[in-house]
Amino acid sequence: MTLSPADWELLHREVDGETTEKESAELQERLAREPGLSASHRALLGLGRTLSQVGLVDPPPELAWDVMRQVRQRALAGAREGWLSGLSEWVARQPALALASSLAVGLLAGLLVTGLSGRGLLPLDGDSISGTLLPLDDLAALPVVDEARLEAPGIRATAVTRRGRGLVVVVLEIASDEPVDITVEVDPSGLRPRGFECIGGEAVGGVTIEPGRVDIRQATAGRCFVNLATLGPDPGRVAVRVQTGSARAEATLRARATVE
Amino acid sequence: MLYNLGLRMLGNPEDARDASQTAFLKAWEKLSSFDPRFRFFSWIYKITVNECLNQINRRRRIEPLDPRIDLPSRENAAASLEAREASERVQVALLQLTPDHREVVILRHFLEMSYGEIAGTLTIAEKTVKSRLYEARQRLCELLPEKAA
Repeated sequence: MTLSPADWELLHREVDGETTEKESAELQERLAREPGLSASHRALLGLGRTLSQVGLVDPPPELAWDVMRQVRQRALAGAREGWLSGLSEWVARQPALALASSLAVGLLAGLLVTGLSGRGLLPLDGDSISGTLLPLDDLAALPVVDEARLEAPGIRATAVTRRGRGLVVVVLEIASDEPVDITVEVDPSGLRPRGFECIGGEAVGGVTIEPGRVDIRQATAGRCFVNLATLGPDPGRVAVRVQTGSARAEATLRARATVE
Repeated sequence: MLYNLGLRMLGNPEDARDASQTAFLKAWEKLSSFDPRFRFFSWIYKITVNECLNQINRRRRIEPLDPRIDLPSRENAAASLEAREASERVQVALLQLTPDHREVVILRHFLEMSYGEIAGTLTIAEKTVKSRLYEARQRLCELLPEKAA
């Protein structure tokens, strides 16, 4: 049986977790009665599993040293020719770039040697692990899927799930006077925490990212983005908990729109 | 990450090493052209992908892509023969895709980038990312039938 382009697209969107709940439910009904569609769906799911089983490969240990040696040689040669001093001056005039580039150079050298322990974890960019290459403005503009207010004595916050472009983003607006601890929990088979960014406030107590869970400790008033990669058809739900030493507020939000 | 991107694009460790090394040095030298409005890593991934495509084009003029591979696995000795064979099978299949298709599969499935991130890295429209990815997956389903079916 040959599938129509529209059916193929639907299957791909389903395995990428891009379908709405309504589309997914309708597809499940069709899969039960259309063997050709069902076989193609299984093939795509199987392909995803096969590709996910292929691990990262360690680069040769001398690679980073070779790169750094060449950078040093070029820097010395450049200094003699004057281009490096010009570049240094230009970088020095742009503090954000200077920070990003110095962090990136060090991190890249590290990446070349060690790789990263988690598949798909995108690296440091500025002073947080964003986990995405998309600009914050793009994340903030993704369509809203669900939202909730989290309130308790000493706690004032809102949580919004946004979704699109292969990501789910939890945007937390903290308005509490005192710092709060935030926990975001997801089904690790449906969503993978990729990173966070805090704008306005900061996470004084640090951030822990692990499979299925992100802990942001002692977050001050501001906006935090928790970025999640969709891993499969069903992203499940996002549980958000905000607490102080004496109070706690929590909510569960949808990660997939019911209809488009 | 840069090395793994090169390895999956090019299929052998030596070329991956050359591509990642060259990409890093180009990034270092072209730092002044980096636009701070964009993510640094999107920029350097783009340089790496372009370097891989350059290598593929150079090699095309000299010799066809060699699907034989020797991938040192992360787990190395501990890696099972089965896992190693699966990795090699996937690599052979990847090398049978066109470079356009290969790069979107690698960015999506190995670097777990979203459609938007891939579009930004490759400077192409999101709908182009999707159509290339969908076509590439369908081809991979044919190339990796026993695991995919």
